[in-house]
Amino acid sequence: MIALKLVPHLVAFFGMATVALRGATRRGMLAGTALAGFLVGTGFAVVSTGSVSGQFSFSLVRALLALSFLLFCAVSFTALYQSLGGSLPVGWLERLSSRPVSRSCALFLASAAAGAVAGCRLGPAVPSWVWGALAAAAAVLVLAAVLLESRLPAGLSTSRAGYLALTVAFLLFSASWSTRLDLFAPLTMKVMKFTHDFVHQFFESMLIPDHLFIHSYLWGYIGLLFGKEVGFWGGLIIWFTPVVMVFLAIGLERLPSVAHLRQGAQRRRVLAEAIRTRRMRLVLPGLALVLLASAVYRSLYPSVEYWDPKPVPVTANAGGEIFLPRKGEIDLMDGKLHKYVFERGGKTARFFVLLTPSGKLTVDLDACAICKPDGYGQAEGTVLCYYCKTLIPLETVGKPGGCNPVPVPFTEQDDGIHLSGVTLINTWSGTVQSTTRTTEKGK
Amino acid sequence: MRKLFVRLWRLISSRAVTPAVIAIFLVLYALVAFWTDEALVVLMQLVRSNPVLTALLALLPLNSACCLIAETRAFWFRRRLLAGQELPVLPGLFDEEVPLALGALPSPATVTRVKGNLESAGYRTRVGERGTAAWRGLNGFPARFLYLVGVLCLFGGILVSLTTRVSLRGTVVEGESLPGAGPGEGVVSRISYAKADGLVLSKRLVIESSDPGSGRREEYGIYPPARFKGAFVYPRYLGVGVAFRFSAPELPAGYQQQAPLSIYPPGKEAEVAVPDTGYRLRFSLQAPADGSDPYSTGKLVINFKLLKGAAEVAAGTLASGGEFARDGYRLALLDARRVVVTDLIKDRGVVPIWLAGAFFLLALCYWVTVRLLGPRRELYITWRGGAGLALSRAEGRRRRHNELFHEALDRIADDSAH
Repeated sequence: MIALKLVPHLVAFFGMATVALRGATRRGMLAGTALAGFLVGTGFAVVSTGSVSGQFSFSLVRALLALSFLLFCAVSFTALYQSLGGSLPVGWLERLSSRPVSRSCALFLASAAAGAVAGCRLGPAVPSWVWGALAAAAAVLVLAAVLLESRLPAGLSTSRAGYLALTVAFLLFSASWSTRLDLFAPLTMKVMKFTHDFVHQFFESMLIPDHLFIHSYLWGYIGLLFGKEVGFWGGLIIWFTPVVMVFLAIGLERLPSVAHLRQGAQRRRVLAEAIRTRRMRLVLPGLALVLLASAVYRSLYPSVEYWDPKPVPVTANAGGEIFLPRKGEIDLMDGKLHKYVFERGGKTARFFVLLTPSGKLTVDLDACAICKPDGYGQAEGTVLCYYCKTLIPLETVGKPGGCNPVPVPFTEQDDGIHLSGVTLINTWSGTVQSTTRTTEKGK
Repeated sequence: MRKLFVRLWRLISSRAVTPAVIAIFLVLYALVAFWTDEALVVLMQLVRSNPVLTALLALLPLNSACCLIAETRAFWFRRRLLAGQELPVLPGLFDEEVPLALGALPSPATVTRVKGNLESAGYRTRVGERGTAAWRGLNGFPARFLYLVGVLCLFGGILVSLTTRVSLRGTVVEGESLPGAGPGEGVVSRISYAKADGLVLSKRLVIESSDPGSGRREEYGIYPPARFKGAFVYPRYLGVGVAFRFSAPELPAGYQQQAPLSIYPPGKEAEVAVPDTGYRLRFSLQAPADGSDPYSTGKLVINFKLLKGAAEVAAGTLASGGEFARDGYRLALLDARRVVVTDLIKDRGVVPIWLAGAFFLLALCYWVTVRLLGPRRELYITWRGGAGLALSRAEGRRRRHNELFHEALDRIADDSAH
């Protein structure tokens, strides 16, 4: 089972090592660096998930992956700008990156990142035989990469940005097999949040009237901007833009000037050769495109099951207060997500109670302030927003913001928890319904 | 000094500046988003409060203004060159520059043949003493010009808006002065709210104000926003302003308060706590049986519930001037008026940002038209003092243009060889 879990990560490592060896001079040294990097990364992740808070290790690795993606964005943008005729003072950087030492360092870091992803997937309790098997498998794969690389056609090369594209794509592909390291789902959430905030700020800045004064059909169209689809498509655009820029940078490279050649046939030959070489250089970024697409697929269809109880109807007393006993038919202290539904004056609010890892109870709406209220499910160490597929660590449930469930004020007493029905309904109306205008035809 | 100025000018008018600055802000946004969910708001506050970031943002309008000057100069320079004026060929003016071999300068007969070929391909030509120019199609520069003006307006507007915007939220109440008005000026005489059949707006809200001193009357609608004392009047939410007096058996002296309540539309509840008593009054607007909008008709009937702790003590309905009394509890609704929660915003960036949108639209329309109908293609062969240079540039249909350019060069080379 462990071996099966590690297959995609080892495949990604093998691909990265093969790419790094392409066109290199000291292949033995590079192969050793890749192996060392992978093992160091795996060891670090396994040790840190066991000793530090689990969330920290995952956050760190995810931040490293995000930084590599940002670096890829910058490099691809520079490549495109230069191929369009722009000049940038980055010659020293190119000279530095082409040195063997720089190449080794970059490979070590990339392999360490790949190893860290695999280590996070393994988790803290790893038997020693797994370590041995993993090291052996990585060594065999590095040897296989050396062999494969030497048999690849010489013409199969690409630009520096193209190599980086493939390396980052392998990393993101590897990360997509772990729901807590996947970058695409949080990216879609960030895009949704950005769109939401941008529309809000734009309306405020441009003094555009609020929904109260605008036709509901028109607001329905504006409401589309708050939908999951915007996050998904916006995320896709950001996800694929760097690799598309690499394609464009290669595709739009100026063909060599042939104006000095005075024979048409000679001109055509030179141009045809340049075009053929250019096409060959698109093959490796094409592979990166496929890997990124498969990472998106993994992100959309993760193989995880969630605890999602049916909401229990509750009522308020004459003073409008809802009371939930600490221990009754439902044990609020069992660490599971408990969902409730409250109805008043034709309005319904769904909420849940959860015991957080810090030992405190929290009451939150079964919805966030950004997404449509599809609710949350509970998995190991996290709750998941069903709408945008964002994972929220249990440690942060009860804190407002982003895709976190909206907290509801309550008082905790010895017998149980008390909360105001009016506050609950108003909180739901104020924060959740504003995101559901599309379906509800106006607030 | 001059050298430094030239280098500085080259840097500021570089086309790379705007994308680079935008990229920096995107990276900043991404970094901020790691730490907070309100990344956009935090980034805006950072730009507002940090002079370095403000200066970085100011680079955007500055760069577009410099690009505008540099590119306009280059455009006129190229036009004058093609018109036959004796000017040096500056680098970057053309896509291709091919030096002609010594002794390969075209004879008049060759020039005539090249001219004929180009004219048959639809080019207009001009043969002068020092060179031959050919061109075809409409210039795309006006689109670029409009685009740069748009960028200047957009980022200039954003910069001005971010750094100088002042906003004051206030409550506009019938019979009282507008927020921020001096005593006796801008008294709201009426708030009217009705259905509208506009393309965008479904409601018509008009705040009528009058100045008792001068007798001047003003109207403030929803859009476009009118101005009061230089600030845009931006209505946000509707509500009801209530004035009530409450007394209870243990509170014989009573408690009186005026409060704007956010209870529109009907059914929405708002609570007012009576200080130090444990009493709470929960208000909502009653929905009329005939389905009319109480805010439009002005018939404001208020539902109330009196709560003490978790227990409901009394409940009822009151119209303006009405009073409820039972078991020692008294609640009098002294007044109920329409209220509009309004922002008064001083922002000089709004108009430039809207203008930017118009410029972008114009630029797009022109660019698409030119690209579809006939993009600009230019060719210039010049010879001065025994040295020759062939220059070519195309904004579209480049392959066909290059073919013609190469043919012209081939012809010149062939003729000089024979």
